[in-house]
Amino acid sequence: MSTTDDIRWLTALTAGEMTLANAYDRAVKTAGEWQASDAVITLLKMLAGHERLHAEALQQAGAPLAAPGSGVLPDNTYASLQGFADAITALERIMAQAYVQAAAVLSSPSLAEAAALAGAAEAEHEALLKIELAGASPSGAKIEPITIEQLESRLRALGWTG
Amino acid sequence: MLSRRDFIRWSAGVGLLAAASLETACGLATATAQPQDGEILNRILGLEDLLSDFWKRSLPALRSATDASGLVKVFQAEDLSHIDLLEASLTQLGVARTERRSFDYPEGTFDTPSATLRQAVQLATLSSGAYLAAAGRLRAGSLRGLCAAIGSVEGRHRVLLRRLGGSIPVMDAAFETAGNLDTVGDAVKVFYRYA
Repeated sequence: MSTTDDIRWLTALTAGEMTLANAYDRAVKTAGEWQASDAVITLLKMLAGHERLHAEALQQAGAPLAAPGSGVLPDNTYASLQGFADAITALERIMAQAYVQAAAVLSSPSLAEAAALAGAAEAEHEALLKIELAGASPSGAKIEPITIEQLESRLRALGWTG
Repeated sequence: MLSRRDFIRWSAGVGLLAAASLETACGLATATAQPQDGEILNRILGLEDLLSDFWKRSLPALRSATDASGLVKVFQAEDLSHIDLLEASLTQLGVARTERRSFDYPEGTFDTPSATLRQAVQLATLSSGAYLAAAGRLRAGSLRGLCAAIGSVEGRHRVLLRRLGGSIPVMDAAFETAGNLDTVGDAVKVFYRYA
């Protein structure tokens, strides 16, 4: 794996993190319309903060800035709390899967460990969203990895222009 | 919050990409498994043996706590799968499995659901930390990926157990924390039963 490949991973992961952060920010603003509980709003704010820190850390590690305006979920995602929960839980899962593959292929142990630490946080986010917003417990003995091509394809479907 | 230590790990000085180039140049990012990979996997396997035993022992204590016992049954099944995955990896490496031990727990561990959950959170924290540290220590990329994949699930266990135990905030940082692989064996030995 070359540094060029590392940058490709870090770039796509940053785009995913920015998409998550933007989505949580908008969800916090929309929470009143959904009549979301204080506990849900607190959770959304915490998750927004985590994603921004992940994106900042990726950029500090060498990822380029995400393109402005990219990484925004479609308006209809916010039509209901349930619709938002479904979309954001799926995206958290994709990111957890991507970080697992990144841990396997990034060119150094330190990058691999950093990816594993961020990926575990995404898996935990997914678990909390499922249990708090859908009343369901996540299960599965391991997070299945996805390739860089799969990650980029999912992000482009969400409007990423990278 | 992102801890200072974690942030430094990500961004230290010249950045991880520069560090990655150096590690690669020094041959630290070898793609194939090395003998020490088996030793690391065996340390974690000893921990999974402990977890598997702990879940079995905790179920009677959690009988009155329906939410907790349901989750623990899921965790028990998932940790048994992790044992299978680790054993299969050791077989591929040609490394013998660590000896299966019997375990004892501190007095009172299973007296109440809250005491059981407190111990469960500690063990899940130890486990997720060990796997995630291994993701940065193993030589084989496939094993790093495996440990990241399982470590994420162990982190999920930790957070869901913290939630059940009423911890606020349920997640205490934006990044999970890597444990210390050099001390995980000693942490497991604390629970060994000596006949």
